[in-house]
Amino acid sequence: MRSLQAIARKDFTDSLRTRSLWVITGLMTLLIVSTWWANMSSGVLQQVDRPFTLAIAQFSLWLPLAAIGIGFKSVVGERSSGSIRVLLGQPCTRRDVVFGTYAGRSLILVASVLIPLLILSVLVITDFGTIAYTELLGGTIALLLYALAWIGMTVGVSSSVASESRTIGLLIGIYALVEPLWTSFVLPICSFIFTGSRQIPSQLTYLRSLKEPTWYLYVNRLSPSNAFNAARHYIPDLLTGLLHGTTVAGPHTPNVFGIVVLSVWMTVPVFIGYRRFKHAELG
Amino acid sequence: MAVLEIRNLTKRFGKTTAVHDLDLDINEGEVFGFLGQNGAGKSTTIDMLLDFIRPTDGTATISGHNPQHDPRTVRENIGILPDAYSLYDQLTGREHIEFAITMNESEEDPDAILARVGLATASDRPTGSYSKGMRQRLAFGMALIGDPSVLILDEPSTGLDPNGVEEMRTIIREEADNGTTVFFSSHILDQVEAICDRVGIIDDGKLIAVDTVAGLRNTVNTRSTLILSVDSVPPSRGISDLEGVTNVEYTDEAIEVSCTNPEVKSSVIARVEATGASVTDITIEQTSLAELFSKITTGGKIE
Repeated sequence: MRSLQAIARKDFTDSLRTRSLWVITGLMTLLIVSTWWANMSSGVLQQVDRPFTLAIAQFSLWLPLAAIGIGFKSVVGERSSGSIRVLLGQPCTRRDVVFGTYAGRSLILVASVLIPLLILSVLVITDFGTIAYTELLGGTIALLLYALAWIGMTVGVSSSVASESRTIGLLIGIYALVEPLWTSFVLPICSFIFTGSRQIPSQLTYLRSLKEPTWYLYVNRLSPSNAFNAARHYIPDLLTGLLHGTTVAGPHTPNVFGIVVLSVWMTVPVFIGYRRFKHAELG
Repeated sequence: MAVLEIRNLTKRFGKTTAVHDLDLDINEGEVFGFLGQNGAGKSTTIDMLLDFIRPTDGTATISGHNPQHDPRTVRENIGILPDAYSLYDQLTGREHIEFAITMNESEEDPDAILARVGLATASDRPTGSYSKGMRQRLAFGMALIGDPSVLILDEPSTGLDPNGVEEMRTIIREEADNGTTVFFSSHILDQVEAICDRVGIIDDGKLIAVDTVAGLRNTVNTRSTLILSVDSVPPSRGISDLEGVTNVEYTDEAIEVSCTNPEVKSSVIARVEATGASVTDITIEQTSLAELFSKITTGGKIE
């Protein structure tokens, strides 16, 4: 455990001092803040009862890219630079290297996401005077789950392959499938399998209603951004329900399924990456 | 007792055999030089000792531990200065040393180690700004942490200036005197000659000779030249008749005797002095290890 922690701390400190981390954090902050101002002046935010929940939707598209940028070199970079030879010359195992690096990069991404999130909550309070803490806490939990899902996938792929270019290629491919190609390509195929028609249900109502067909409620949440978009509504709902003893109306099972999907992304690729890294030749 | 035991160690990459059926025992406290040209299989062997790569066949154990089965214990026992490595550019020299101290669960003083490897003044700079020699010093310092029972140094003089090489040699000697076994790979022969108790020569993946430097000289029948400065040059007194003497040359103040048998030298001196000439100085020029090495790897092979 001690060597795993030491590797995590080393990875955290090393990453914290790279310029790209601050560029990525700055860009995310800029994006969140500028979208907030645009939506304030167009009046969109004033019409919803949860402005913070709406504002963090911006992360769904950009956070995966931030995670890939922060994490794609994590393990494969040690191999291609040769620092792995110094690292594995110290008393530790390959398990410590993969999971220690995973822990270090996860903390880096969390820190990188918390900065725009903090600024956003300040904006909510200045513009609306208040913020429900179930909304703040629930949204933050949902966002961190989403962030960890993507850093898990990223570090997992980075541990699995031997070259940086293959890592970035695989990650961009995965991102393309679950983001830009999801509604235009993946969902129509799934729709055809389940219904015989390529016509997919409207995207507008999927978040909090049960109007969509059952298969769609589940299949759609296989994409982490959809699982996150459902969770950023569902988790505050749950917290509010717990706090006030009220029942939560939202569809439980698909939303819990969405959280499971995020947890799977967070863990399974890292384990696969570790298995592959364990058997890799690091010559 | 053998600290490092290598048995039938073989590594193939596809159809290329990088290391072929290597057998080697290295004893406690020994400084062993592992000699070979670039690409002969030195780094591949070392990579297997550290479980960076896995043998196709055979085993290597360090203090009885197999790196494949128990990598952590092996790495606790070993300090390694690898080949073709890099450091963490954003971290300072001191942070590297502190990291290694934590990893080894050691209580050592980072400043003492930094001073020992000559980095006391550069310790708070990120290693991204280090020269090649400074990186090499730092990596060497990391290898020394945790009092390893075996030090593995892969081409340790890479990037070091002659001063640095000398300082490193002193540290290696100190470590060996404290009972550390040193496994030292190099393609530069002079360094090995100056520091090693025994040398092994690897060529094309095969270990072709293991012996002391002196032993190797004897086996290969190398020639040494005995130069005797004399007050008066005597006429030939049967020096060239001695067995093991191949050539004798006379100059005004000296006699140069080429011998293949090292034991013949004292007889040569005795014969010269028997002529009444007095020997004022004795110089022996030996075949350098470099010549020895090329002799072994090309033709003059020892089996």
